[in-house]
Amino acid sequence: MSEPAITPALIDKHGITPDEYEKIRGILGRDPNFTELGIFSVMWSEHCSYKNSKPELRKFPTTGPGVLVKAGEENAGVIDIGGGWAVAFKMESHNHPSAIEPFQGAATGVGGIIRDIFTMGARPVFSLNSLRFGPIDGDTAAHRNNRRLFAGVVAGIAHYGNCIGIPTIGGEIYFDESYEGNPLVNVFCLGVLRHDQIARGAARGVGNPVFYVGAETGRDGLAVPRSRRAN
Amino acid sequence: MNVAVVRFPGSNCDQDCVHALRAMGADADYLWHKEESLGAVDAVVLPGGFSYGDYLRCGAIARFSPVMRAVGEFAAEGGMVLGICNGFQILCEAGLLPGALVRNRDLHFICEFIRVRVERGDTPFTSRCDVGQVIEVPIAHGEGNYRADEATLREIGEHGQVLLRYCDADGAMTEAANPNGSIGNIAGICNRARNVFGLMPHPERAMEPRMGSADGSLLLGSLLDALALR
Repeated sequence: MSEPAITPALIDKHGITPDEYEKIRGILGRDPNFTELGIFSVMWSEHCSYKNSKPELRKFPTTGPGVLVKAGEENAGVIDIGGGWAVAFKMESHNHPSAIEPFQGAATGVGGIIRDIFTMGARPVFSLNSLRFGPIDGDTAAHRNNRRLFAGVVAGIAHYGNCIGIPTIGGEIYFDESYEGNPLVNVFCLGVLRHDQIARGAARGVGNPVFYVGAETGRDGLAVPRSRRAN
Repeated sequence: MNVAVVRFPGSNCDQDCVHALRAMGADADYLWHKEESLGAVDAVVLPGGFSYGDYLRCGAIARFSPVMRAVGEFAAEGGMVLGICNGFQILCEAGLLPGALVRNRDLHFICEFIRVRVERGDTPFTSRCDVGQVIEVPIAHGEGNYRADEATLREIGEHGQVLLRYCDADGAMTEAANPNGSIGNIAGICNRARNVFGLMPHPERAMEPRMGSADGSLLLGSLLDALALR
């Protein structure tokens, strides 16, 4: 099977700017192949690398006497709340998944942020959300689509929280034309843990084996049919 | 008093149940659904949650878990079995309780405090209540609309198997006080032998005033009283 040739049009289609492409060439010391181009496209996307929002995020304070795990260091930051207890919390966006499939997009956003909290060793206790949509009052195709996105996102957030038994205790929502076709779906989760329960995911050292441990998961994270399991 | 709280994949009220039972003095512990034996227990609780992701129908897959055979045998021998919310759905699917729980009347998941009227005080699950007493407990479900055919309804009526009905503050069984459309405002039923009880409300979420109500302790307390007398 021959791979497509790397053309400026293909590079553009991957959302990679000419400057970024030169960086890729610098890193690899050659042109990337089709697969590598795809990997860079994904890993350097806003969703994965926060390349546009990082300079803004850096303006937030990230250090202090109560910081047990800093933002960006692990799956979630951890803050001391005294008495040997701490809270782990984080928010994440699921804007584009929700713009495509609002129910599942929002639901998996909640699932993702809960995952980031319990992987720190914390027990998630509540969720929050911050949502932005285009106007929903009106009868144009855009209004109808905004209503579809709005109803689907709200239902997806509620469904995931209900299933896993973690309450959504609050949120905020705004409607404005600037969010037309590009809803913002941010979800937040907070968990509680003792200092000695902090679980770290980062490891370093060349030659160390990597163990990937956990239950088998299927399309919704429950189970893989025996016939499809790898031996 | 040993109480086993079964954990199915997707159970999410198991910790609450164990906490509530331990707080009342019971020796409660978790039991994985793949266990084929209950061990030396005095009662079994099937907690709320979304066993097997509610695939097919709520409780339809969990009833085939290995532990359910043991629960069935335990119930047949007179052992005390309590099913809360998803646990109630599993008991109905398993045939340990009559009827079925279908989608709520208004098609929405409902999470709120409701009132139920206690229909009998002479059962192991309601002995701390008076007949007609109105208690406040929360519900949290999408499929709590109790249904049964007419013959079954007549039968459970004749044998006094309806223990809880949704009602208003005065104990009146109005349509407005019925959150999910259950026939006859039924919120909880027991089997004819009165050792298996299923209810949609969550007593474990109403165990002390700071939780909004302590009325759930009347139901769990009744069960522990019954176990103490055995």
